[in-house]
Amino acid sequence: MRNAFKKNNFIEHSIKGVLLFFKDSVLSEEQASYRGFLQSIDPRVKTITVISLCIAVLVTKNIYALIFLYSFSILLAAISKLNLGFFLKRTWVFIPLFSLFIAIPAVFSFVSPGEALVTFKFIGFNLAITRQGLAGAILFVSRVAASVSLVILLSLSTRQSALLKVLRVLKVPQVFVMVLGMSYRYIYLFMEIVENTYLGIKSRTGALIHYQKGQSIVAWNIATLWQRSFKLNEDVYSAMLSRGYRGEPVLIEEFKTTFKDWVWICFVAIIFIGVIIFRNG
Amino acid sequence: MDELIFKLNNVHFSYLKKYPALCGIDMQIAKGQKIAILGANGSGKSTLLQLLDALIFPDQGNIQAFERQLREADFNDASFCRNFRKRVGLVFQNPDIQLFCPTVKEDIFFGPLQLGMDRPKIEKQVGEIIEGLGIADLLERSPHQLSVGEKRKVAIASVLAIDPEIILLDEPTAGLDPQTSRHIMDIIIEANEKGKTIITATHDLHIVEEIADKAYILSRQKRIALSGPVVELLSDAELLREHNLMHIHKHRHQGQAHIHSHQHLDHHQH
Repeated sequence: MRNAFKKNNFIEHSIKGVLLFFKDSVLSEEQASYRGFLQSIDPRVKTITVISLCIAVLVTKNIYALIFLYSFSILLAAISKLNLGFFLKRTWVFIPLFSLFIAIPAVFSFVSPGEALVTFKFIGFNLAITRQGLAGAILFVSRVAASVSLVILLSLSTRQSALLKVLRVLKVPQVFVMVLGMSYRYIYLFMEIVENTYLGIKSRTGALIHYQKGQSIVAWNIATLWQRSFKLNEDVYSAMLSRGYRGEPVLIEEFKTTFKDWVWICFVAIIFIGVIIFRNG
Repeated sequence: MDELIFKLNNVHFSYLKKYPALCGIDMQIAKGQKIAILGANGSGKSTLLQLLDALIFPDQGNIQAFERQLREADFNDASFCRNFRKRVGLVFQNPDIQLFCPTVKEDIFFGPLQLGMDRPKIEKQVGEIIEGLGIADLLERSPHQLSVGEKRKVAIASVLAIDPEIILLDEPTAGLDPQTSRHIMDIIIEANEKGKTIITATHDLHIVEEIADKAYILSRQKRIALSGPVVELLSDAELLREHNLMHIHKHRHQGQAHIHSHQHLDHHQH
């Protein structure tokens, strides 16, 4: 019986976890306003150069080039005054997710046959880690580490609103950009609603609820949230119409490139060409 | 009477065709007037403002704006729609509805940009509004990071940026601290002094005398119970009590507790 009550913590932990993730996002917005190096680069230039560096990461087979690009991203994080602990934590949350689970089977002989480095028995099966498998896995994980670091660097050093404007520059239709912007804007409102609703339920039911009751509360919460989002959708649309919206939004365009941006473009171009030339090691 | 802006004849509106929100509303509003629409919660104040802003249309009766009947089909005409939206602005009760852009600056620029106003004109106008409201430091922030008072100021700025002739305000001071409330009232009064017509829906009797010359009281039957000069209506205690705009409560005057009807017209010592 006690276990049934304990399981209720799952709901609380899930809500707290999601809220914490969004608060982290707010924190990253703060970092985007610091007076660091990357924050001073025009968002368009920054996005295009980061995409170029990611392409360089994808085409190179040179492990030293990958190590260089990963180190370069950490250096950029440091001179952009980003919180290095936060940056590394964010990066290494995604790396196992995208790479390690795929890379681990690839080191074994049944996926990558070749010269065996280590052999051992596991539940009656003979397994061998091969040189080719290990090299391939290291290359793969390094690629993921470098590209994830670069993308996180971009997201931490740029305001979400500026990234959305960059999408417009990249010719993504304005209506998609606006929908993305509004989704980002209203996620916070819904998170507040979820948090307040949960606190309201907790204040009336106490901290311990039977897990079955907990499930029904979560289901009810999801249903009311859907209803509220539907109402909000109608109201926001009215507010847009009231200010002259007629189906095709017109949004502000205000980017300016400086000498510093052009120097940065040249610097990244040199790195890009260098990595391409030495891509085969 | 000055030039008529709105004329409502026997306007009825119901939600989902079965929940009446307004029944038989007759109203005339002239240019430059300060109008208050008073009524308890659920009396139809917000619905009336949305009808005046042509976001919804009557089930029965008609609304004339600028000597032309408002019909839903007319808003398919881009130039008519743009002209109307340029002339009438609505500040919603919930600023979270009105502030839908990623940053405050984009929200303030949204209206003028949709209405095709010139960029230099927008820049100049918005600059003045931002200075007047003291919100320059909020421009690059996301609306979700603002306090309720700041959101309300930005919502007002987003409407003032259009420079409409008529400003509709839905509960503009609800949930605000006294200082912010005062600031918003000053903005409303200043806008009226510049010639704008102000129509405010509220049940906050503190502010009515300052922001309106004439008031309409909506009853629980969703009709206009009475209309007239604000001073006259506010002096009729029986009428205010009947429409849930005044209540009886116990409080202290100079150390002595007593019970009486109380309409909180000014901030006196309790």
